Amino acid sequence: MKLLLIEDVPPLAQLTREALEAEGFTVDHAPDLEAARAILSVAPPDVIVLDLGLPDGDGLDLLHGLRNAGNGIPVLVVTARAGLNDRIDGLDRGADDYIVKPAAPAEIAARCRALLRRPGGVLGRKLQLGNLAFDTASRSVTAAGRPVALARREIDVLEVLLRKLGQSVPRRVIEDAIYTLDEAPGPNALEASVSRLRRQLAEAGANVEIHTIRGIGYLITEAGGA
Amino acid sequence: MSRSLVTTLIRRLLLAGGLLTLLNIVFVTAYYSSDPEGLRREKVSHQIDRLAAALKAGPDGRLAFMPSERLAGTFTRYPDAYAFRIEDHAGAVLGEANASLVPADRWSVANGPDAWWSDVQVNGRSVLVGSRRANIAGEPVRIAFAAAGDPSNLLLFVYFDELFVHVIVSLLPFAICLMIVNAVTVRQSLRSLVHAADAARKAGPSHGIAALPTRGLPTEVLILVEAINDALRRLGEALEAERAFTAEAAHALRTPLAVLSARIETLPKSAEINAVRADITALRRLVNQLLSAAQADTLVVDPARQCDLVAVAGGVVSAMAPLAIREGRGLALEGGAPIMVRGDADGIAHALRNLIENALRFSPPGEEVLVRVAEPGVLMVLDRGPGIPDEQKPLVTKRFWRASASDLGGTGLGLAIVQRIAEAHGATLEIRDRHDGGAVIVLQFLPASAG
Repeated sequence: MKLLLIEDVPPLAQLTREALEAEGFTVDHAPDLEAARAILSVAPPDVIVLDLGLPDGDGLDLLHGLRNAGNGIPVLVVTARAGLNDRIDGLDRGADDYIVKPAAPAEIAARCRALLRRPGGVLGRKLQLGNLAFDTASRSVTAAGRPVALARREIDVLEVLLRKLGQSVPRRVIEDAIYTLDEAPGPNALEASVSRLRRQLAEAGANVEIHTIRGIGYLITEAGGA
Repeated sequence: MSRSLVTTLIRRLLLAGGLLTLLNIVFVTAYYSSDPEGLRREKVSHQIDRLAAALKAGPDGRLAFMPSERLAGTFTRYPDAYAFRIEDHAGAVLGEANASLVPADRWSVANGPDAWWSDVQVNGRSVLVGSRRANIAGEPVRIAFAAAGDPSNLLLFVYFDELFVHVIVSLLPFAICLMIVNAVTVRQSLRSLVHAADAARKAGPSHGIAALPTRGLPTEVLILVEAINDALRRLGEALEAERAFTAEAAHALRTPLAVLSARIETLPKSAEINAVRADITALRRLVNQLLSAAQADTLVVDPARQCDLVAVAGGVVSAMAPLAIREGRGLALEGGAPIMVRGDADGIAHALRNLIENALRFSPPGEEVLVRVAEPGVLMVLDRGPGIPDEQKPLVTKRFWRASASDLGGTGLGLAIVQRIAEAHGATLEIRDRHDGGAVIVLQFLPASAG
């Protein structure tokens, strides 16, 4: 997984780079917008970690330029600007996610993986959580290497949850993803699917847990927190 | 001691009016003493007026002379001094008294001019005779009056009459008018001061320091208001500088903190490193909260801004649920159809994040923190923590306040920030006890339609 780190503070850039490399990323580093543009033109990365305040301009301008050029590469904005009002600004301008400085490198890595787990992302083909593996191409699920037999609906639910690993997934998002327009699911249909999925995963010995967030939706984690 | 401008004005006007009256009296007195002849003629003319007023059309349609007792008395009491004679157009006498005072030919005035004066010497005395033609109830009449000396002080009447006409009749209505116009003008000119005062009362770090409105202010007051505006501007700059310093200081701490945080990650894992990492997390929180507090202080919410409380709560609960689950607690939202309130979505979200963080910190593992949105504009966070004792309820919204010195998890800023954000929204913050254990923080917002 190739990552472009755009950060102007040398010690921070160095330390973040080392930490991300330890997490398994191949990291290119650009200290300013000019270097970033140069790298983007010759070696496009899979994901960009973008600091906003750069010596030769605003990171958001680069982001804006990328999106205007139709480039959909996932971008994680690292902002020191976070406040009551400007948190959303980066998202409005095409950032896929943002994280407030000072952020732990492990958090940055986790957010990048979440972005790469999206359909089409480099991690989007094989989704992994604990001992659970989901191959999106063959739509097969294994727990600790053994196949788990799941109905189509449950596989769909699991895919949505795994792609949004680390985030709560609103029920509406899951419903939109698993039902076609002419299917009219009953009010408890999703609950029923989720509880079947929970039972089957538990029976198969998968060490994952699907949490209900009442009033919102669901969230999948590795069993025992974390 | 302050005194109403209107009272002062009226007081001074009364004083000036009094002085003017005195001056007028002096003037009238001086005028007539320099012209005794004029005054005498005034006296005669005045008596003719009185006589004319006593002429009335009788029931048969003919004019009759019906003097008041007082008028008649003047002539019976002083037969040697006053006389009159009233004739109709045919020369018939309608009324007369003491006519012998003046030679008969002097009364014969039927063909004389409209008005005339004549000094007649009778028995060595000077008698002033005056005559006037008049038309009373359609009947032409001639009224003549004669006076030898002035035993009844008729002159004084004339004098007072003059004073009455010149001072009371002309000055008094004018003075009253002047006072009313003054009072109204002053009140109206100063009304715009009330608006300025309202604006001044609202000015503060939380509402922003806007210049006081100067529209419609009289120039005299404008000087003061402009000076106040100048002072307000300087205060605003100082406040802005202070706020900016807090924000910049918090901001500047972020990069070194990020470096420190990343450097720790490169060290071999150990219990000590974990402790340091926890300390850095706390420090990071404090820096973020300081910046939030600085921003919340100057948060001004446009009254026209509105947002859906349910949507805001949904976003925050959704974003914070992973954190809650990581910490072994639950997070849930209760709310239905959109509830529109007056407010800024980012600000409300920020307040709710702080409330949820607090609730999660005080809830025992396995418990659920509940966010409930209800009509009308109520946002509440319910936890299963130890609750907040009554004596601490007023304290928890103070900055850097902590329940105990050992409570290091929080910055002591969270509820203070929430309180400030609530104030900026015109919302209220209330702390209640949950009936089956725990605390409930209630934010009551203004409905979007209000105002």
